[in-house]
Amino acid sequence: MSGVVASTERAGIAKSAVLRRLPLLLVGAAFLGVLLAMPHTGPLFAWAFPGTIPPVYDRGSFVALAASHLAIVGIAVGAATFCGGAAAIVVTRSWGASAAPPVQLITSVGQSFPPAAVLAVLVPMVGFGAVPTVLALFAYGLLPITENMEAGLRAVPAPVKEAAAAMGFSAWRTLLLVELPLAWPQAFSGILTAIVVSLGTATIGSTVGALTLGTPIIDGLVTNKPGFVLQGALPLAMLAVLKELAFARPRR
Amino acid sequence: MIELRHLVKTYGDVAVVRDVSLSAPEAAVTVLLGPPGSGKSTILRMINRLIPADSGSVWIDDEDTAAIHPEALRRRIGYVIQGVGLFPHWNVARNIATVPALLGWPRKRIAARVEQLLDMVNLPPDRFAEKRPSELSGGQAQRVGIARALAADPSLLLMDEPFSALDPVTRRDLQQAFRRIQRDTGKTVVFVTHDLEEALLLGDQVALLRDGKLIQHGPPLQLLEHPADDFVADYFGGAAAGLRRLTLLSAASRAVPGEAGGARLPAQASLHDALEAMLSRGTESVALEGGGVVTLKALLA
Ligand SMILES: Nc1ncnc2c1ncn2[C@@H]1O[C@H](COP(=O)(O)OP(=O)(O)OP(=O)(O)O)[C@@H](O)[C@H]1O
Ligand SMILES: [Mg+2]
Repeated sequence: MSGVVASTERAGIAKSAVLRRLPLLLVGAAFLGVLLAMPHTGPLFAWAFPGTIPPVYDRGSFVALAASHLAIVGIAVGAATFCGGAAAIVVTRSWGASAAPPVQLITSVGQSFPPAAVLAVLVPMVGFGAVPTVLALFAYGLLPITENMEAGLRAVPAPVKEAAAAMGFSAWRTLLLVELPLAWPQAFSGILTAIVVSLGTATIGSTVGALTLGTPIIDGLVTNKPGFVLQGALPLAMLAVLKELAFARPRR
Repeated sequence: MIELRHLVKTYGDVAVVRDVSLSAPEAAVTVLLGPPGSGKSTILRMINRLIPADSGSVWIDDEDTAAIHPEALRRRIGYVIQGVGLFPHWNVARNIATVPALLGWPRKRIAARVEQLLDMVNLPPDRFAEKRPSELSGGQAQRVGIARALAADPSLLLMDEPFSALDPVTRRDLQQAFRRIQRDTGKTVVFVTHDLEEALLLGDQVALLRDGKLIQHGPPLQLLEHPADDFVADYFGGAAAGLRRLTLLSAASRAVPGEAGGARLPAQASLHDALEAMLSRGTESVALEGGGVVTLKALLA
């Protein structure tokens, strides 16, 4: 009897979770649909902007552009999470406190230059393509990720850490089983910030040859094809909406 | 047995523990008593090597703890920390299971042990096992902290003001339950408190500290009757010392043959209980279970 109640209750919870996610799923599907349909919109754009040849951006598939866009963001934020997380762990150890000033310096320098300026500086050093973009996003994401992770670790109550040690946990075990799980919500909010900023900022990487959803826009601006600009702008706008739906968390 | 030899701890240029030597006998409760900041918690933390001593040593059963791996040492010693320190992301059962899980007990044995401990600290398992620490009152959390320290059935127990967040009634209940369990299991306990009543009730031996120095130690009655100096005398209640002394003396020890009216007091009642009964009944003698009476005259002797 109680099992039945519990299972219908669980089904209810699952159903409401799906309902809450419904807008995200719909916009996600629409986003994919637009990416896939774009190559077939030639007649539409030929009618709207007569004389443009070809009418639709065709130097790469839109799916590939989106995948590259997401990969650039993923690699940059992943690397920033790894490095920023490690730095936050080090500066919150008793033996690593002296590393705090340099870490703070590096992360805040990383964020004090606008990514466009960082790109301009990096290109002569590392060449065109995705690399300077990944580096610029990495530098930009380091600060929110490190800061939030560090704040999360510092917020673990002293008696909790003392209890872990007193129960016979090694420093490692305390970090993995107690400190990181407790710091995670705050650390995650830093990672989200980096993702959200990077998804938008990656677009400008197209000015230095990175393949992103911004590529058709830059191409259209350079060669004076307003159709290309629209073709890049539509999926980007949808990505922005997706971002909102995926990461906007209910406020309590 | 836990033996402290010439322990010293200094923070900056402040000596917070100054040459403390003390032994906590097997199967007894040794109370560290003293005002806030007198170094009680610091001494406790040096026993299980949570902090290193500047000098001096701690011996457990004739083994220098400096030679034991700190994590192995701590798994052997139950520790109730001041401020409880439950793991907020684990439920009550998981919190209690911390050390057994660390020691690799089988799941079934852990589950059975957790249930047994929850019963022991008066938290019905079906209501409390799944709760998060944030859903507990201060007193309930403290009881979970005690259960967690007892989980792997350590023969040594360090308790840092374990009953401080409790209301007087629960506090008295748990103190008595603790005393009973300790007598039954024969654990060696070092118990920190700044509450004199608690020290007198629970301690087989009381060590009074001030500013990191051990001022006097011995059975509670000895400190009460023969204070080494004014500080000890003051701490042990000054004018109220006489009444406190009655709580430590058993009524049976002053009983004489005879009969008296009214309900009999339990055989293990203290003289304080006897006096209380006389006052409330307006009599000058009370009978004890198991025979004999205590008279006002014998009580005053
Ligand atoms: N990590 C530390 N750094 C500097 N001083 C400390 C540190 N830990 C404790 N102290 C100081 O050492 C002294 C003794 O502290 P301890 O915690 O042992 O006192 P206590 O007797 O347990 O007090 P309470 O009854 O308030 O718990 C206090 O003056 C305290 O401020
Ligand atoms: Mg203390």
